[in-house]
Amino acid sequence: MLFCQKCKVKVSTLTSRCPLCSGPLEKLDDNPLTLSYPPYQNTKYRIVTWFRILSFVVMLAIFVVTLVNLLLTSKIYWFIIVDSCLIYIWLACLITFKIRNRWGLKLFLHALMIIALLIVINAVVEPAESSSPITWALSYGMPIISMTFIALIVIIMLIKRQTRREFMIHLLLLCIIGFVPLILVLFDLVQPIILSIVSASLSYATLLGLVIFANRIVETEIKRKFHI
Amino acid sequence: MDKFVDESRKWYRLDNAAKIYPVVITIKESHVFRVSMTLKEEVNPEILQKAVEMCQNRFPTFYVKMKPGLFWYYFEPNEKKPIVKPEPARICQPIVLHENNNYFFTIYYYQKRISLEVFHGLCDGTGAMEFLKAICFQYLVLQGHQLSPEGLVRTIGEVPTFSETEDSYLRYYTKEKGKPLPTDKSFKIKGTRLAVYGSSVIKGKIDSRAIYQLAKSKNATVTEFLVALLTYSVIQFNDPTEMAKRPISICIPVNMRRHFPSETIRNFALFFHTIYRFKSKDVTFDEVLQDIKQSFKERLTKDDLQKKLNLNVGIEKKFIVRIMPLFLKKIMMKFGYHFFGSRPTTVTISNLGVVRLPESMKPYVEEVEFNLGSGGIPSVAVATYEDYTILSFSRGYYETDLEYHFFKFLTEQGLEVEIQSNLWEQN
Repeated sequence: MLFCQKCKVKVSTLTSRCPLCSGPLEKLDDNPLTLSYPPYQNTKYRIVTWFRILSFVVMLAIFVVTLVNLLLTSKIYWFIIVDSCLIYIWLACLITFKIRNRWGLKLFLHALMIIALLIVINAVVEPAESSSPITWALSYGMPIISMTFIALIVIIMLIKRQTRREFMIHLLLLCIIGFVPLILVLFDLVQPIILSIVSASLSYATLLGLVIFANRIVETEIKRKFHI
Repeated sequence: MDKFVDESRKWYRLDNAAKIYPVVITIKESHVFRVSMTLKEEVNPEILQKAVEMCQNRFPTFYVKMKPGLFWYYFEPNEKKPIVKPEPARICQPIVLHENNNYFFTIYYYQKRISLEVFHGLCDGTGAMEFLKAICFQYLVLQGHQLSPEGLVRTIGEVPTFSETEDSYLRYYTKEKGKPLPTDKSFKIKGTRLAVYGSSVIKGKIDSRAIYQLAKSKNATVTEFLVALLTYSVIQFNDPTEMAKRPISICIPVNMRRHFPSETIRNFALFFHTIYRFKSKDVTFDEVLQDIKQSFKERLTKDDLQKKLNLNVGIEKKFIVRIMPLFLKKIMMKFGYHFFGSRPTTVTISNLGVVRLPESMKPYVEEVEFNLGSGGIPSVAVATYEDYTILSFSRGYYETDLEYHFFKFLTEQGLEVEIQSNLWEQN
């Protein structure tokens, strides 16, 4: 045990200075002292440097591409496509590496982003005022993407059954997206309609399977996610 | 066999106090606190790991992971095992979920000490101490000691009751008008920030009877005495001009179970602030104590606590708040925390009270300790076990003036003080 004459306190930590006043300490007895806590470490908290570099590069690239496009020609706005692709890459990295463990959410967001990217590219390549309003992003892109991701999630749920709850809500949301192309048929935005029918059918079959084979799990998951 | 349809698994809504914590975690302010027990023998990590796993069914509200819903977060059972780890250098550091199997608590060991660091969203100090007592009890049983719980420890053979897992805020909520929370800015102690985020810890061990007698001699409770001493210590080393501008305000969490009977081991605490308006540097301790006692008398009443509870639960129950998507709630809560959380506080002091252990367990337990993490505001955590009271100061800067003046006053009053530190102030 040590003693500080200034503070009049005993000190039972292995140290040469008083923790209160930084003054010298006297030895009171020969009992061995230990560190009361693990030794100080100058812990550097991990800063995600690669993501900062990526963000900088993407933002700089967007600025340069936009500037070049607007300076060279003001008629074709190809910079929108390039910028959208850059933003997609940035968001994809953000979702893939910064969101941890939530695989259902990751897959759902990836599906949404790919659909959004296709719609943007489609809108730039074939503007709304063009002769044909039918868009390939909605006719082919959206049903194919929703079907692919529904199938992917169903396979994961069947293989890794203990994590099925993680995917339930996102599978339901993807099924809703799977119906969208068929609804767009009513507005003459989709042609041919075969893929939209297949997508809606797969969504319906998936929903039916969930309701019949996993009604309780769907019910409780909805209660959890939407409790107010 | 793992059935596809599984009805048995429960989920928990976050209790009223817990709702804010997940939103306001930062690397500086972890909202993690620690309760520890120092045993009389070195800790065996393998046996400790086993003891922690065995407590799973007894404490279902701890063995959870947090998930976001559309409107609120919620807890669901965690299938993974909690990991027992050696104690890190930084006390009450933010819990890195992916390194902790998504658990919001961690059991640490260091020499003879077993520590539970827990995120405030799961429980308050009382709940955490109940959990730690059960783990240490189980650990000692696995070590081969013959122990009896004597009604003071929740053992793994018992079934958790509904009252243990309830949200007691909701139980005691009435529709009477709530009391507005304080928003006035308080005086803040300035200091040189530590080179790395963390808490510098200085703990003082004093004779519990001596501090009780000292408080009694001044017609005060131990908590009133300690709050007055903190206020007095702040006055001793700070700039009078600055102190004259804003009041010295000590934040004191109140264990609501003392006023509203409850068995819950989740959060059931509220806080109140004592306000001391600086008059002169020449003020005596007794004068400060009179003001603090008056603050306690006016602010720590059952009626006042009921109104605070009504306000907090009332906000949660508002229809517009309930249907607000989680991301909007997060913005609102961050804003609210800024105004009602740390702004009106100079120092926080939390007194866990007397920790009671079974007679058969006492020969194996040396010390019980309580620590609060320090964000920007210094904090003091107090726990009493057997003959000793341990006061643990945590702060995020180098200067030790508050602790120096605090313990100096106690030694001047004739108390023996034994100091331990994590020595961060010397680095």
